[in-house]
Amino acid sequence: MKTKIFLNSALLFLFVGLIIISVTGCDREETIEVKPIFETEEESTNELDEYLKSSFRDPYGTNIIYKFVDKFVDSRFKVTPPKLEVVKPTLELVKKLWIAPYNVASDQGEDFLQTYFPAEIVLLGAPIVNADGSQTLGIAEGGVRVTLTNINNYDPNDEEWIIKTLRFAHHEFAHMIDQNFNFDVEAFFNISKEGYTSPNSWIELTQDEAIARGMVTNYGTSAVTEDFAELVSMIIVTDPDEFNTKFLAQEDCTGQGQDCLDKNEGRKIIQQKYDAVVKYLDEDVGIDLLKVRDEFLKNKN
Amino acid sequence: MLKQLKIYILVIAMSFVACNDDNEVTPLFEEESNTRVISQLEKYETILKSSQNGWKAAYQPDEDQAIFDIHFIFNEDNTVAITSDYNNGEDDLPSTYRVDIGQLPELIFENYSLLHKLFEVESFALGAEYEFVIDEISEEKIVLKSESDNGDQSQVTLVPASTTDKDQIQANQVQEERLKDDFDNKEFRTLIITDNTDTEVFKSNFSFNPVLRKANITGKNTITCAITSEVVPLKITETGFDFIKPVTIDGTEFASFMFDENSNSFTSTVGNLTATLSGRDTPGLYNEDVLLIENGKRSTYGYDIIKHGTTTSQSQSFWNIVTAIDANLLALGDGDKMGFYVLTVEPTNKKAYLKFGSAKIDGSNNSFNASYEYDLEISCDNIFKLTYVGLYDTGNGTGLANYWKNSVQPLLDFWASSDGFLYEEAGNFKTDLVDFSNPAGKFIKVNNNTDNFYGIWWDYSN
Repeated sequence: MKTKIFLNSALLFLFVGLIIISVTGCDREETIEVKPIFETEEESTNELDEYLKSSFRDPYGTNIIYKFVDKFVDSRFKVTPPKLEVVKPTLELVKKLWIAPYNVASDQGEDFLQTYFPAEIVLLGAPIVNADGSQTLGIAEGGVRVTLTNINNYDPNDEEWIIKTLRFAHHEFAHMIDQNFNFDVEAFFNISKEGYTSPNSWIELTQDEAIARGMVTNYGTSAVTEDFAELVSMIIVTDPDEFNTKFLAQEDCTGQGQDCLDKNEGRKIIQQKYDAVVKYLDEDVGIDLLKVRDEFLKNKN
Repeated sequence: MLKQLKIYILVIAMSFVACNDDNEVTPLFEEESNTRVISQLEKYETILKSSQNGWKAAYQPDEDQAIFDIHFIFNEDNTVAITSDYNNGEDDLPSTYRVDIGQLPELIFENYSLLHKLFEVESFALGAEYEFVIDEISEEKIVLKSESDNGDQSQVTLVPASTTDKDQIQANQVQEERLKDDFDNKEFRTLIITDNTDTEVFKSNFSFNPVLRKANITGKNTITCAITSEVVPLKITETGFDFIKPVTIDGTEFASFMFDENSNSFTSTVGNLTATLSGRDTPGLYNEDVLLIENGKRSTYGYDIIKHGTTTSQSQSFWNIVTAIDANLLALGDGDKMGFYVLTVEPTNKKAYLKFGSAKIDGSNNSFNASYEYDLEISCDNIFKLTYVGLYDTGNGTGLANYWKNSVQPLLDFWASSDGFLYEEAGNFKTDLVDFSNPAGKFIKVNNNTDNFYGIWWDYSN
C-alpha cells in the first residue's frame, strides 16, 4: 500500500513537475514580447540633447520631449511642437523657478525631486484650444508626465508669460504631489463644497465671483483637485502682500455692495484652505510651500 | 493504476507537444520583417539626404488654397533646413525630422518651422500639414500625403532642386513683401482695369491677406454697375504673382501679374485691357452707404453750429469754412454770423438744395436763410456729386441769396467739389452738446479725404 502510495506520490510529483516545466518551457518571449520597432538609436550628442541629459535626465530621470511625437498628445487636439530655439531657455526657467525652489524648500533637499520630478515633460509650441474656447496651458498625466504648452511665445522680457507658464508648471506638479501623497481631498472639498461649478461652466465666472466662492481662480471652481492645484500655484507665483490683499485680507465694504461682502466671505474660506494646504505640504510631503514661493520670487527677479 | 499511468503519460506527451516550438518555420525572406522595415526606412532617409541641392516643392495644402514654394535640405544630423517664399522667410526655422513607421512610413517635421506655421495660421484654415505619409519615394520624386486628412489626402511632391532654386525662392520673398506693402503710403489699394483709350472699365478695392496668401477683389464695372467680389489664392513668382485660377473680369481672364518698379505697381495685360494693382489716394470702389441717399432713406442733412456746438467728429475744413463765412458776414456789417446749413437731396429729381441760415453775433434770435440749387448725380461707383446751378427761390424771392452769395461762397464751393464725395454713415449723431438718435453721416471729398463734413440727418428712415 505504501508502495502504491509512494508510486502514486511519485507519479503525482512527476506530473506536477512536468506541468510546471510545460508551462515555463513554453515561454515564447522571443516572439511574443513587444519589442521596439527600431533598435535603440545612438545617443544624440548635439548640444541641446547633451544639455537635456546633464540637466534633466541624469539628475532627475526626466525625458524632455521637444520633438513632435503624436502619442504624447491627445489626437483630438491640434497642436504644434516647440521652436528649437526656445527649448533651452524655457527649460532654464524650469530649473530656476521650479526645480531650484523645491530643492531648497524640501526637507529631503534634492532627493525629493529626484524621486518626484516628472519622468516626462512634453513641450508644445502653442496652447491647446478646447471645445469651450478655453485654452489648456498644461496637463499632468498619470503622475509621471507634465505637458507645458505655448512655449513658442517665450520672451525673456515678458514677465506675464514667464509667470503664467511657470504657474501652470507648478499647478501640474501640485497634481503630481496630491497623486503621490495622501491628500485629504474630502476634507478640502468640504471647506467650500457649495462653491464648485463644473468642468464646463467654470469659464463663465469672473475671478471676483470665484473669490466669493472661496477659490483663487475661476478654473479652481471646476473641481476640488483643480482648486487645490490652483491655490498651490497661485501661492507660489504671487507676491505675499499681493496675495494677502487679493485673497485673504478682509476688505472695507463701507459704501460698497453685496459683491464686496461676498468676496470677504470667500476670503475667509480661502484662508482656511491656505492653512490646510501649507500644513499638508509641510507635514505630509515635507515641503515648506512658503519657502518655495520665496525662492520662486527671488529667482524670478 | 494502469489507467492512471496512461493518463499521466498522455499528459506528459501533451506537455511536450505543447512545447513544440512552432516558431521554427523557415522564413520566407532571409531578413526578419522588422529588419526589412528598418532597412527600407533607412533607404528612404538616404534618398532624402541624397539630393545634392536639396529638394523643392510647390506646396498647396488644399485645392482652394495658395501655393507656397519651399526648399528643403535634409541633413545627416536629422535636421532639415527650410527656405520658403512665405513671410519674408521669418518662419523658415531649423527643425529636426524623422522617418518613422506608423501605420505607414512617414516623414515628420519635429520642431516648429514653416510647415507648422502654415498648419496653425488662422485656426488651421489652410489645412496644411507637418506629418506626412511617404506615398512614393525615389531619387527623382518624393510624394508625401497629409497624415491627418480624412478622405482625399492633400499631397506635396518634392523634386530635386537645381543649384539656383533655393536662392530663387528666397529672392521671390520680395514679391510678397511688395504685395503686403502700402504702395508709397497710399491709403487705398486698387485694381483698376483700363482699355486702350485709358478709360477705366473696372474699378475695385484690392486687399491682400499675407497669412493665407489670398487676395480679395471687390469691384464694379463702371458701365454696367455690376459688382463682383472674389477671394483668390495666389502663387508668388519671380516677376510678381499669379492667381491660382484665372480671374474673369468682363469676360477677360487675368492670371499673371508682373511688378513694375518704375510705377510701383503690378500689371497684367490681356488684349486691349490692362489691369493695374497700385496704391491710390481714393478707393477703387466706394462703400454702398450712398445708396441710402439714392433710395430716399436720407433726405435732409446739415449742421447747426449754435445748437450742436463742436465735436471731434467734425473736420477742421468745416470750421475753416465757418470762420471764412463769419469773416465775410462781419464785413457786410449786419451783425450776422453763420448759424446753420441744410442740404436737402431729391435723387428722383436729381436735385439738391442748400439752405444757409444766419445767426446774430449778439446772440439775439433774428435768423434769416437763403437757398441755392444744385444738380445731383450719384454715379454707379457710388460717388455723390453736386453741380452748382444758381440761386433758389423758396417763395420769398432770391434777394437775400444773392446778397449773401459771395459771403457763403466757401460753403457753396465745398459742395460743388468737381470730383464729388464718398458718403459714409457715422452712427448716431453726437456732439459735445447733444446726443441724438438721428443718424449721422460724413461726406468726404474724393480728391482730398481730409476735406470732409460731419452732419445730422433730420429727415431719414431706416
